[in-house]
Amino acid sequence: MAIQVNLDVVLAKRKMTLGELSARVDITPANLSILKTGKARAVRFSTLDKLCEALSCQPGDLLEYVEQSENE
Amino acid sequence: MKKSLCSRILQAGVIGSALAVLMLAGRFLPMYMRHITDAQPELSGWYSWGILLGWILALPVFYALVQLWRIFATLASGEVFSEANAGRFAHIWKLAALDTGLVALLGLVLILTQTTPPFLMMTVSALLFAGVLSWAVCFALSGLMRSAAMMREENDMTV
Repeated sequence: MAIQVNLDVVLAKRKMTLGELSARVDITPANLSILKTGKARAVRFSTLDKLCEALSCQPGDLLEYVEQSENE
Repeated sequence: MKKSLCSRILQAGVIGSALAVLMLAGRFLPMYMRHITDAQPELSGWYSWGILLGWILALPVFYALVQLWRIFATLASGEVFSEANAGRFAHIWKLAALDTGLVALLGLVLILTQTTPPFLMMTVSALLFAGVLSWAVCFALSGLMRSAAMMREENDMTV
């Protein structure tokens, strides 16, 4: 998928672990891990809202469009 | 109620139904045909054909019960809403339609040959009703299951 989730980057900048984030946003570590590893097929706005609030960031900090080359 | 317990209860129901159909076809059908031929001696030549037709109608029912067993097994694993189960319901409604068609054909033959003993016609009517009901319910369930499977796939891996 061309949409890349940079959750690990933002977590590192905020010096926060996945477990701490999970407790703050009330999303299971398993689901956050799915998001972090790029396996998620869709993200709800409500989830994005909670993450941005907890991490004090913008949606664009978490989501990035990476153009796929034709060979991939 | 836990899913696994629910699944087991439903599967026990399937086994009970299979035994009931076996009893009907194996034990009561010959008695029923004997009753018909005693009441209408002109139908005595139809005794064996009646039993054969009964078993032909029962075979799709057994196959449908196997499909139901498989559907109920997925209840325990939480994989109920799937294309596979939609396909199983589709098999069941097609078999129900086939059985209903055969019963309707039998009824038509009986009416055209003016062989209409009341007890036999009541049985044909009851079988038609059960067949149409099974067809309609399983047809609807197949469509609903397919929609549910699509929604489930869309929601899987959605955070």
